[in-house]
Amino acid sequence: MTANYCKETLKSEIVEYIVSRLPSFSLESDCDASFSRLGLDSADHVHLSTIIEDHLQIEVDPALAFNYPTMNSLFSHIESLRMTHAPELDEVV
Amino acid sequence: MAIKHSLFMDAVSEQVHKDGLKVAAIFQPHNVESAQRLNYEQLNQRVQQRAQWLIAQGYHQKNIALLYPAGLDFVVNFLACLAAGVTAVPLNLTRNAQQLQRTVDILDDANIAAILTISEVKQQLLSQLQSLPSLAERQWHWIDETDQSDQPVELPRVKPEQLAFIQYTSGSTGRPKGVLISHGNIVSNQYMIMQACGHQPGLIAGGWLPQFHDMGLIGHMLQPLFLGGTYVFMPPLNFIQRPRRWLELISHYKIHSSAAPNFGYQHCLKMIKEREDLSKIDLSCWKVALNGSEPVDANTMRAFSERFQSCQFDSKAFFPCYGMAECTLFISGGPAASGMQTVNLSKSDLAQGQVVPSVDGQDIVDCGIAAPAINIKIVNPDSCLACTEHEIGEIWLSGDALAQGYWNDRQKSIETFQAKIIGSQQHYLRTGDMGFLLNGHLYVTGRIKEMLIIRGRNLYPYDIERTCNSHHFASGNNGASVFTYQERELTKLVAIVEINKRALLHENHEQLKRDLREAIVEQHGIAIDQLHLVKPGIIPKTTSGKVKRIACRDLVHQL
Repeated sequence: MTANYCKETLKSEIVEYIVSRLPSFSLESDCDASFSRLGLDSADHVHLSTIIEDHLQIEVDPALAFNYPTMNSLFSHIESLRMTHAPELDEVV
Repeated sequence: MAIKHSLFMDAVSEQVHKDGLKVAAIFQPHNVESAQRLNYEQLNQRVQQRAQWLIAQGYHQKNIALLYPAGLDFVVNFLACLAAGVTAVPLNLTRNAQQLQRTVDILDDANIAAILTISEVKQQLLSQLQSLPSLAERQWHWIDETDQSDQPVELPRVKPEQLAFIQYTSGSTGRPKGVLISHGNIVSNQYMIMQACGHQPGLIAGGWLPQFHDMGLIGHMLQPLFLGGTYVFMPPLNFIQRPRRWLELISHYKIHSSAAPNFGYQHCLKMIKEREDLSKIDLSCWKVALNGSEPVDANTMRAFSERFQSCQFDSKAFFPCYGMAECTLFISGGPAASGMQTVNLSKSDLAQGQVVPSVDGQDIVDCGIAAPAINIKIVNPDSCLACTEHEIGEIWLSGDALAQGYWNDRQKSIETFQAKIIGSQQHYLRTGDMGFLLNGHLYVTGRIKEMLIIRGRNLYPYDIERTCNSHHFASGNNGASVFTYQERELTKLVAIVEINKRALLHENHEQLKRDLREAIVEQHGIAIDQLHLVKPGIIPKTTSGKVKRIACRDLVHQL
């Protein structure tokens, strides 16, 4: 499994969750819209961090999606997380 | 412990002298290794320093906001306010603009003299505030951890009748209401909780409840400190993210008493997967599992008991209770170790406001015995006449733990805290909740404001919503809304139910609707006038996931 593939799986899991809450969500048009503007509540925000935690197998701040409130900012942050946790994550991906 | 303390801090001082090295508070932000501790001596030293500084700065009897992330700083600063006779106003640290506006409204309403926080939060809040144009120019006094001096100052003697703190209630609509809690109120409620729960000196209590909220503050934080015990806690978001951490916290620190609203127990059931290894979790220490602050659900407690029996959770630990900030916190619950009890009542009589036992009716959860210091009356909310024994009415209260009123709102204080039953001069607190007393136990049926009166029957939307949510094609997640609207002179009952996407695409909608209607008639004996099936995520909800029923009325026109 390549690192890139892992990122796509995570992305699709997140999109799947957002769509389950907001059926009109589309990755193409909404990747820079804030989660709360789209209509996710605070429990949903925290749930995004749970999905990421499950996927990366590292402890993730529950407030992550509040601090990086769009798909794009969240994923660029996840990339930087991957850099700092590279040794741990290499075992995962 | 005999009743002897008249001030909360007297109990803390007693413990400092008895055994200052005993751990007073443990905060675990992440894993076990991250835990931070304060013993009674350390806690008291920090409290005294901060209290003296507050006095030296002239804040005695002034209102000060506490804006802290979950942690030991809040414990120190709240107690420092109590010790100094400064009125604490604990507030929620917010993340979005709408909630920030609410915080600012409270700062204004409470006429805040200064904001106590940590420098990191101060920077974050300042930039958030500046992003709101209407607030960019506003100035507040900030106090953070860098503000201290070693100049000893004598603390004034605080009197029990003096205001201790203002608890803003989390009501989502209208102007925020600040409940005035005196030092005497705190102590009297501490004794009530201790007695009802059977808590002993040295109690270990805590969990994930926010510290700025009455149940987290009075129940989790103050109660163990009052009893020379240990307050153990974690950030609320860590619980939301992974609820098993709550159970791990209880197991690891051998927590005896931990509370949550019904939602907390439900969250565990929903998020903790069957395949998760729980073998290291031992909940046999958990003797008091309080469930309060929102409608308590018998099914949730049954399912929780069953699911976590393998972790030695004792179903007898369940302790449904009733309380509110207007009464400091605790009103009724227990006796301890009796578990969740229900009474079965005839649905048709219930809808007529009558308590008639049945065997195949509706289960109502027993919210326990009223604390001896509280006198409960059931009163007709319209006529203000006392109800007869088998009538459901509004729950009215009198007694020592009753708060002093609302800050800055005389009218509302009189209406709420000084209600009179026809023929009596005694002042009562109107709770806004409907219920009844049976054999000395209190049963709560629902909020007056939410009660639907339709075709002469009194129904609560959440009872019907629960039925909708339990349909196997419902999306779950509070995905149902039941409310009424007026069509000419007729009141119509409407239900909107979120159906999972797959079923919505592939199942026969008419069949689905028939199933739902049938279930509602069967369970509640009422027919739905309009039933809408929608995709998940359509029903408007508050940030805490509660259905906004009024917004749903507008939604119906678009469906």
